[in-house]
Amino acid sequence: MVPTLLVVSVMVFVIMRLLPGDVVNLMFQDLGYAQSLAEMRAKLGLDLPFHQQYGRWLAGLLRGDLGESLWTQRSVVSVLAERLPVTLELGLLSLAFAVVYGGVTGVLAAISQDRWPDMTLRSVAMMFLSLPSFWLGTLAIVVPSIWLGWSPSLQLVPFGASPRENLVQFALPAAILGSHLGAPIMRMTRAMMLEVLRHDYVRTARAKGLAPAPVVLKHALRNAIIPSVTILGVQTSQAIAGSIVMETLFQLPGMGSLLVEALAHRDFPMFQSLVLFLALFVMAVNLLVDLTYFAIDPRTRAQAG
Amino acid sequence: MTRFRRTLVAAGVVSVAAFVAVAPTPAQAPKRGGILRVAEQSDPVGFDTLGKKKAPVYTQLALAYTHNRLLKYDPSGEVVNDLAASWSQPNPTTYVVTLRKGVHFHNKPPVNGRELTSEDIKFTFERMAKSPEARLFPTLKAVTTPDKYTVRFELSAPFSSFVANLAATTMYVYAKEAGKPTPDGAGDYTAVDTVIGTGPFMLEEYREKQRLVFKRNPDYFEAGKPYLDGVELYIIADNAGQIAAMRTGKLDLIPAGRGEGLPHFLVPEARSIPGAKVMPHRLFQTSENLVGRVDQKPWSDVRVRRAVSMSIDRAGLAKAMFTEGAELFSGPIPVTSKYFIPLDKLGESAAWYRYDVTAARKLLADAGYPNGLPVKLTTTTGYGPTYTSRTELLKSMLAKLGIEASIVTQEYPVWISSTYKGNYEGMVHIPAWTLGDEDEWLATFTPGDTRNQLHLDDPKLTELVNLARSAPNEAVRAKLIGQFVTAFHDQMFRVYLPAPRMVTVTSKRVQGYVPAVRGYGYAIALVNTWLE
Repeated sequence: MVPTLLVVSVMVFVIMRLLPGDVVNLMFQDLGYAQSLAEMRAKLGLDLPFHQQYGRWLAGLLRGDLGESLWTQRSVVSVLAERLPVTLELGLLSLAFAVVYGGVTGVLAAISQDRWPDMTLRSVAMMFLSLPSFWLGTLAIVVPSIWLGWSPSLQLVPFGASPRENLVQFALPAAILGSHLGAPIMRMTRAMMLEVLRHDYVRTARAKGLAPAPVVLKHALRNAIIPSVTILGVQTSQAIAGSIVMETLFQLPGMGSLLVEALAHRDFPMFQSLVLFLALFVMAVNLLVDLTYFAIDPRTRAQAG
Repeated sequence: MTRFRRTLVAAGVVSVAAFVAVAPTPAQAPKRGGILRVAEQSDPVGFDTLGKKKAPVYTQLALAYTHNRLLKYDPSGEVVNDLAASWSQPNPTTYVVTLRKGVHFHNKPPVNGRELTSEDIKFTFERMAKSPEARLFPTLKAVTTPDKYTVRFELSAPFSSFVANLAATTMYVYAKEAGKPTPDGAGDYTAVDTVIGTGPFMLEEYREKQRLVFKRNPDYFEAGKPYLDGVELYIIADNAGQIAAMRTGKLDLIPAGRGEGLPHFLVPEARSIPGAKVMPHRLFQTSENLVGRVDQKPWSDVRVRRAVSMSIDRAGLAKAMFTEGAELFSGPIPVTSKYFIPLDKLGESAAWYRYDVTAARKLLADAGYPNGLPVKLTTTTGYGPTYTSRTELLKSMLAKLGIEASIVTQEYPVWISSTYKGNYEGMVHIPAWTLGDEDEWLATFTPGDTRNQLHLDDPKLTELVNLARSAPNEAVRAKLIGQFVTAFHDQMFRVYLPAPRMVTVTSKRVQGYVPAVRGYGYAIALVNTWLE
């Protein structure tokens, strides 16, 4: 994990410096006289050679100091502390929705193969997969405002202040994002279930007179779900990408919108820290996915042993 | 009752009803109380308009709630007194401003509601001199304070925009003790706890990317005002989200005061909100335009510039993009400027605004391009998708002229760092500007100005700008600016496009709100606003 993070840190640092446009020009806009620009660059440490800038940033990281935003002059750590819980909550709720939706509908579609429930669920999944989430999000705001007199809350309700209101606030964006993430899980679960349901051991279980539910849920699902769990690991980074749009549409001040702003402002310390943090998060989730294999499939435990 | 009498009675009832409907109602008395909920698209970036970098628009908008200037723009754009009780000009290079008495800063530590004095004005101008806003007062030599309520400004040379620039929406007056200490003594007013002004509202809460909460300043110098108990300013980036929030009773005001404002295609949505008032109005800004470098081909040839102008179907563009109305003719100073010259008084230069592709093609052929020419047309995603749609429309209009424009779309930071600073090839689709006084607009066309994207160095125009800057009186200034504008249009250095109306939307609760025409400071109108 540490070597990967080091590579990510070098990559993000170099790529940001290679991008044209810089924060100082954005600060001064059309009033950027050469002297003012040079003074500001010196003040922000942007006049130092790249290797020195990188060294400073890395040394700060090791001390737990992520530096200051070049754009707002706020401490990166304090901004992260405000924004991280929002993105984590949205991401986790979306993934939870995706797992429940994708898993349940995948199994239902498989056990009713080629009949109307299967066709309906597959069509719905295809719809969620093909419709852009920003369009669904806009629709989910505009249509209820016209027909139901409802619109999302204008400010974040922290979970600690009111768990119920907080969950209500996150439910719609999480469902929209989750339905998009859940569609591939549904398709994968269905395909794997169809394959597993044709295996001899399932036929044997049925022949022994086992009830349909245990056959499907205990014997078949456990074997069919492993590829879906793998997909879930990949979906984590998609959930972060999707959260950018949802946070903007639903007034949720999270890390997704912060990432876009940091890039748009060429706010190096903020962007570098965010990318590093997100890389760490994605790696952690994928590690968790790997560990989940052990819990689901005893064969992987035996191979590891 | 006979049929005739029944008809007569019915006619009487209808007449009375019609009279009641159209008869002027007595002016409604303002009501005290209530919280107004406003939408903005972005946060302020710190709270300092006189810092070391250019004052961001949303910072200027926020400080209009909490701070005052010496002078201000009234809703029609005229300069009137704000913190100043009066001002005079004893000679061409001296201005004397007398302050209102009894103006107090917000009752917050460390200022604790002390009285505003001339020393605060002096301190503010010292800050200004160390900031990019120093451009507003290029000939300011000294600021002295003969007494507690008098400020004397000495200039090294006459400057006709001096008074108007006192009303610039960056020239807010700061209390020295409110700022965080800095080595140069100017103080840093970026942090929330430094927001201590003399304005109608006090900043009570700021949650980044969420909202700013202002409460009424009980010690505001206009007795009895503001009428509102407070304002909640919500950050809602998405225009459709703003309209949905107003429709569901969560918002009262979607102001217009910057850039394009509410896109016109969304206005029918706003109109369908029961009781909502939709107010299209002009703003003190020019329009988007097409430019090129006058020191490089093909833009260096006046015939090419005129041909491009004549190939633009301004009426068609306005009809397609600006359903709430637009000024077809604009620039190089805003339509709302008192020096603006309408098309019918422009004389022979008006010909270059006629939509005539055949004549335009002939001009282009005369310039040596009988078969047209390929050109880069640079634009940016930084001003939203409707902006780049207009670039596409311009491309299609240029194609009719024979100019094959290949669009180069730049990300905003790239745009600001290169094209916006005048580093480009071919042509550029540039946005509208909202600047201060007329001098600032004209200065952008002089050599050495950072906004001279044309690379224009025309001795005659530069001389006119300098003469207008030091004009001894209003009549002379108006004449000189008129000469500049006429010559500019004749040379067609910038090809101006239609200037859209801005659109302000208020809910049915809002009364007395008049959209501000000038500057980034709609909040000044909230002093006279109340809720029903």
